[in-house]
Amino acid sequence: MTLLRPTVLLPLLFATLVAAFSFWLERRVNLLTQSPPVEPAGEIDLVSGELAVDVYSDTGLPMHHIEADHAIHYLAGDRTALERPRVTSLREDVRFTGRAQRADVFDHGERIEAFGDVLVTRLLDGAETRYEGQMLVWWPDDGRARSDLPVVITRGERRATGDRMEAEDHLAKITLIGNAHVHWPPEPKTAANALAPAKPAAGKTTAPTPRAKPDSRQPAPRRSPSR
Amino acid sequence: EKADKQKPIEIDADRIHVDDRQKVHIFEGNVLMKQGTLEIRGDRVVVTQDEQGFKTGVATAQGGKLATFKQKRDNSDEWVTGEAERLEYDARTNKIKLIGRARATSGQDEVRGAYIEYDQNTDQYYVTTAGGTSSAPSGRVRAVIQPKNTEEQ
Repeated sequence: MTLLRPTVLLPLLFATLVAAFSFWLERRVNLLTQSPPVEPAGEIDLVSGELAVDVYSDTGLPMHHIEADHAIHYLAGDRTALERPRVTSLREDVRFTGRAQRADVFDHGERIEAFGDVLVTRLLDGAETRYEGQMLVWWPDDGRARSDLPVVITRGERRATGDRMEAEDHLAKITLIGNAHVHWPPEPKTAANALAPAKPAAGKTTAPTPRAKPDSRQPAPRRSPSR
Repeated sequence: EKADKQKPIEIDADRIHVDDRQKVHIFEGNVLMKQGTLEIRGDRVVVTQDEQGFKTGVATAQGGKLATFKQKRDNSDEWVTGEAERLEYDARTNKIKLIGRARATSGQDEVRGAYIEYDQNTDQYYVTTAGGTSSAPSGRVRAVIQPKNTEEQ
């Protein structure tokens, strides 16, 4: 068979190798020069430098005031990206402030996702609840909030931490989930409870003496509350 | 120890619900509450706070287990321990109530009953078969008081 003679087979083999190499090379070059697929940012219809917005309810009541260093509104998903957002409540019944490094506002402000050094303060019954974390999803209309990252909640001297958080009523009700911990210092002594606990009578041993008298309740010695 | 009251409360749990309007804290799952030498363990602990800042804590356990507490006695190396279906700790009255299958020990001494009330001020217990306020199944109170050493007496 003439095809198997070396003088024919070798050039054929060589040509095949060259073709295969050039095909491989062309694919490699394409992969290297191909720019990564860019997520479609969607059409931008507003770009703002300093932004200041007052948000009102459907009934015309002032809800909150939002400021940001920079804002871009994307038509896709009705998303507004804010740089260094700050929010302050304008409502009489709910007093809070909030800030973060950046936030995305969706659906005309129905949901706000804040990221980076998120700090929210809520005034309630004369004391401030303080929320610190790296993210917070907030639904302003119904007051819900959630974080999937660790949070720190402080109120007065009390400090609570957890891996995740769910909240209602603008942080008035908080659920900490996973490795939850509360540090609760004693209340500062006020006049009402500054009295020291009653000392057992001198000389009386304090060895426990169980008084097993079924159904006969000996009235506990009257003493003032002590803390 | 009486100094416990001046110490901060540290509470660990799987889950914490805080309602600052109602001033209620609910701790759920492997709850460990510590204040100085006082330690309370349970599956669920509810802590409420009154207007003057006094706290009450109610610890319960699930699945037939018992909530437990322990606290070191003043000027002594002895510990007071207790367990029951329900523990109620009242910081205003300095009393711990043990309700349901209650058992308390102090050093070598032990008391059992349906209801035990331990007064932290006087280091004394009140034990009864009937619950503090309601009738309870008949049962007997049992106390084991170890004799003091002859040198001591």
